[in-house]
Amino acid sequence: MAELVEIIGLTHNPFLPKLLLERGNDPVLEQIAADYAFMHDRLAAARADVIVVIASDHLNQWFMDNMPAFLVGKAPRTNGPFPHECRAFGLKPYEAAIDVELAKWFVARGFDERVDFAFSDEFLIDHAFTVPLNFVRPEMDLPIVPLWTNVMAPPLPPAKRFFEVGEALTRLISSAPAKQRVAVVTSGHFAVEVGGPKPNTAGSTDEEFDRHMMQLIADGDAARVVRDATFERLMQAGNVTPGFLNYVLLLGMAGGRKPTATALRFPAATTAVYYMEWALGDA
Amino acid sequence: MSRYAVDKVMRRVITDPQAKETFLARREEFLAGFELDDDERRALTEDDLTALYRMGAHPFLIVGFGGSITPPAERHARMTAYQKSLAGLGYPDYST
Repeated sequence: MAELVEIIGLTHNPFLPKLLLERGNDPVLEQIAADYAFMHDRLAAARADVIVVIASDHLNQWFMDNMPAFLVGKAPRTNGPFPHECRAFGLKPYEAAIDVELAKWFVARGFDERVDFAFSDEFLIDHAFTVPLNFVRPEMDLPIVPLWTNVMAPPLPPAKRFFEVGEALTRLISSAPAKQRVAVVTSGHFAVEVGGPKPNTAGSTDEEFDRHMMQLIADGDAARVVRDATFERLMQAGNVTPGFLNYVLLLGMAGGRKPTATALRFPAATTAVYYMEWALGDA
Repeated sequence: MSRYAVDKVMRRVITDPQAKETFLARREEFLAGFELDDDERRALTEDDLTALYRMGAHPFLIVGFGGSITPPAERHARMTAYQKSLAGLGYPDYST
């Protein structure tokens, strides 16, 4: 049987890789570089055989012509990000094999867990996948299972649903037949605005939201996160803050356990950068 | 109101370099293939990003669209001006 050994939540801020490369002596960026190196080492210590990556697509391929709420990618290989994202942000590519058996297990057994996952056999992974993967597994040597959530095109599933899908995924992992160690890497946002009236180049658009939510996560108060992460509150924090819902899914996966470690940093030039980690294995 | 069609135009221009070339060279012809109302057609023809925002076009796509149709040297100035122009406009519903 498979074993869930590690859960990590990171940002996929596409400006972050360049900011860190050119950080000079900025103490906050230094701290973030150390944080993300730490997450890399924690993932390595978990000795995972496969990484389930939960993230979003920024209207690059899943679009309003046919928008899945939760979708599993089950092609044999994938790569990304999209060429226009490389042009816009100067991002590094990522390429990975996919654990097709585990991906199919999620879809086929998801119905028993009351989750009707959509699936796809043809896709790319956008910066929401490649940015965190390049931080925590630049070796590109582990298979992944990409799982997309709709946090971009309302109506979105509510926080309660993200939490339930997280709970279901943990059950699906622990019942998967292959003897393998499974890590989960999730990306999303805390408060951030893109294309709205609030500037997104001068720190967080809602530090109070960021601090409040990270405190609840650190305390293991998942019920309050679910209650407070309404669409209205997320939009008030910044118009693409619904990306936070991916962490609500993680809380469902963690099953009420407090995280092993969290961090929340506020760099001057961009939105909050953070991590949350649950070390669950016997490593 | 056809927010979906506006979003579709922007996404095509962002993701497909050939579509972007056609759009920049022959806008009316390009836009003829989409079901847009007059205001939307005008806003897309005149690069009126603020009007697109007011109409409920997806803000994330407006940023990608504005960036991709603007020469790199002018991009920062244009997108800064766009962001400042939104003061007081609030958050129009951008669901389709």
